[in-house]
Amino acid sequence: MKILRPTKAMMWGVAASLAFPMMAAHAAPVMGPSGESFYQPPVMAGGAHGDLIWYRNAAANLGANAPAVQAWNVMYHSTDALDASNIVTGTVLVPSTPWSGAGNRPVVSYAVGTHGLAQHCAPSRQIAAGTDYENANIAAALRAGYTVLVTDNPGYTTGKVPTYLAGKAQGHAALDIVAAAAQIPSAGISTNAPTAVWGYSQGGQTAAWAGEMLGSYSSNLNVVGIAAGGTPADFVETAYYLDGSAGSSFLLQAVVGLGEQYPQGIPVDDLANNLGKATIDQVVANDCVFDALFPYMNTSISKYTVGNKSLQQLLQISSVSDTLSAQQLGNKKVSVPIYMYHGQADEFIPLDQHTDLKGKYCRKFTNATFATYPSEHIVTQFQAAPYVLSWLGDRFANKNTAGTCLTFNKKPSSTANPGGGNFVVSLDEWPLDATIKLKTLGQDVVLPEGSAFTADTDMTAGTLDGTLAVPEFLAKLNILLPLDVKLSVVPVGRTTGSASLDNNGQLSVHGDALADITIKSAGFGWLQIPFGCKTETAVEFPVNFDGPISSLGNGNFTFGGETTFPSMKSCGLFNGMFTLLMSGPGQKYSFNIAPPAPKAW
Amino acid sequence: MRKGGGEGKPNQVADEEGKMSETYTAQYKNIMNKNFIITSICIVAALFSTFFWWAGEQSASRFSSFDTSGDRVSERHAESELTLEDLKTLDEDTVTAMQLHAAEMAGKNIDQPEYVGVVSERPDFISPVEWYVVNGVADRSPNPEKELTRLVNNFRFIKQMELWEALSGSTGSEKSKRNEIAEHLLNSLPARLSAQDMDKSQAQRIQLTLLSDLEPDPKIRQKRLAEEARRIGVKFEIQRH
Repeated sequence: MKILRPTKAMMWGVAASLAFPMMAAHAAPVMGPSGESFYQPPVMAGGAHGDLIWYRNAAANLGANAPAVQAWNVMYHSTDALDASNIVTGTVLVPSTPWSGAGNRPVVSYAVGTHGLAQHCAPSRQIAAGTDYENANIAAALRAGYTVLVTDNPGYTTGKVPTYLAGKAQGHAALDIVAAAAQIPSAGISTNAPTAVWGYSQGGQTAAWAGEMLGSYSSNLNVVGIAAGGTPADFVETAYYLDGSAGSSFLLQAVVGLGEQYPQGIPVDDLANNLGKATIDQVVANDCVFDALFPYMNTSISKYTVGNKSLQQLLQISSVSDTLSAQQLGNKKVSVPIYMYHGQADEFIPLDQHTDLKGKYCRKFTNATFATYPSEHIVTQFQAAPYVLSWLGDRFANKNTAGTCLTFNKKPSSTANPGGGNFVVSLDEWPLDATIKLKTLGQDVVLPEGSAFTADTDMTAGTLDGTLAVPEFLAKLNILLPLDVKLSVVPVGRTTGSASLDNNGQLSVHGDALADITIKSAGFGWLQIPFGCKTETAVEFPVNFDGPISSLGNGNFTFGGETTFPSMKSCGLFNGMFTLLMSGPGQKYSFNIAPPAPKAW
Repeated sequence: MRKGGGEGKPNQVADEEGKMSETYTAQYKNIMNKNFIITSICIVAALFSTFFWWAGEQSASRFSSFDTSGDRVSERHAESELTLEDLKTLDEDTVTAMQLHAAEMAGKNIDQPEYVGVVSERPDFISPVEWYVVNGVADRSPNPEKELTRLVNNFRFIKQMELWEALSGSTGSEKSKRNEIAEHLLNSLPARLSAQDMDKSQAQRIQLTLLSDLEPDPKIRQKRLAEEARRIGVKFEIQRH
């Protein structure tokens, strides 16, 4: 296993030293080179953490709905988890529109979740390429008008192995990029600007670490809030949760990342068997997060260890145990308000250890707010964005928050699907917002409040299986008669089809939802429509969605199109008329499905 | 539109009662309870005559229901013969009579060509109540005249389809009538498709339904299916075993 790849690093070092003059410590930042050369650090005498080494204009492809931005790549000094100096790269994004609020434009240091260990997975590369699965959240923060800083995290882009989940190093990188970005000439970024660190999953860990280190590491910044979601705060509990489960690839990557930061603590070369070494080489060389998710799913760590040592046996090795303990959060008070959030059905990061972290923070008099979101890990990451941004907006506006340390709400308990099986994203009674436009009548029928979609999207089996639920309702048909003729939509059978998640985080859901269209007359009169007047067969509403996985959480899970209504039956003497008015092709429909709202705890 | 024909209506209705009573029971025996129909026909006929006389007296100038001429004129003047106030005064038996009569008329002059241009007069296969609704719906369209023509043509197709279904299991002359309707429906399908009243899969399903009944010989049926499918732009492959 060649984790450090010294040959490649040496080659780059030699090349860089030939290409660029030696830079003095604390020298004024300069424009860096274009292309891949940007990521090869110049030869330097040294530098303090937060010093900008160089920068350049960058491309940012954040999706169709992203606002126009000015973008830069930055390379800056930071500090690893063992307090040794390191070099980190990242991206700086400033909205093109002027800041309209009071004071300086706020800054969000956005700490990404797991991106995968391969160098090409680095956020700066994926933001430029338009492939970053967190684009939706980054764009949402930009739309709010904030400067967004995205560190690549230590070990990316510089030819090394990322020190994945070394929380202290990640926290350093997320704080130092704020100071570094403020040194870009004419970018208009100030260290005095109200600043927040926001992250989810690995990024939640980063944000929480940053929060705990505010006073000691970056006291010059004006950090006013921390938002940390899906946070792995207790690595031992998280490791057991991941081992042999849907998220087992994250455990494998954690071993590699922590082994890189703590080679004595987790001596990967000594612990990994041949399969383990080959697998690690593959993951480090090639795999981004979704590349690794499925191939290594439901695999026990013992498969990769010498003598097939189990996780329990590995944790009996004191250096391993100590290394994991060193990642424990909750040892210090977070000196600014913190918004903590977690998916109640999170299948990757256990809910309990995060609620425990809230307890620890509260006991240290941290101003903590905790919110539970109804869905699983990935969905929650994107569902939470508007709530997080709203909360951060209040912090930037200097509003007070009472937090939820004092709460009478019941402590949330996990509703996650059992581990070890297929990777199933469950949509549990998600509100359905649907409109059907009747072609001939030119009339919109809006499904009532309380309409919901419940489904299991099994990404492993590639199946969709669910049900539509529409409360009994009657929509008055606009047929000009002096009598109430009303329509209803009655779901029929199951909504079945396919569901898949590709290696670029693109979600595909295809199937058919079925419903009868029924007609009823209300009250007395000569137009008595017999009971049972409805479409001869159920109407098919094709479910066709292809888009980023973020759509499932952020309210953009929308599908629609045109469908055909069959002829009507059992409508008595007016059967023909209702067939004329209701049936045929070109009936437009638009369905939107979004998760239920979060709950405070 | 025929105006001022109120005085002649009762006699006309009486003539039509006979026609209705002959065919209606058979046609709708699959839709409604037979005993109920026989009983109600007598009641309906009487009420129908009464209503028609009343309507002729009360609003002879605007009410020319049951006009079976089917003439097409080139000017749009398709105002409903009934007003909202008229509709409020109708009773169930009268409406039933109107509906049954219109349904029966859909079976007359089966091979009439499609309506083209403006439909200015209520076709006899559309009841006054239906005509009121259809006009109202067409008026909401950006092109009311064109929409009314589309609705009228589609309505006739739908009613003839219902009539064909009602004649299921018939024998003799009624069976011949059913086959005649089936052929007409098959011929009408391309027009229904081009008017986007149905999609190809619906049209093909109707073709299959009609030909399964119309053509007992499987080989000839397959050949016809292929021919009909071609007419609606669908490639239909005959499987050879």
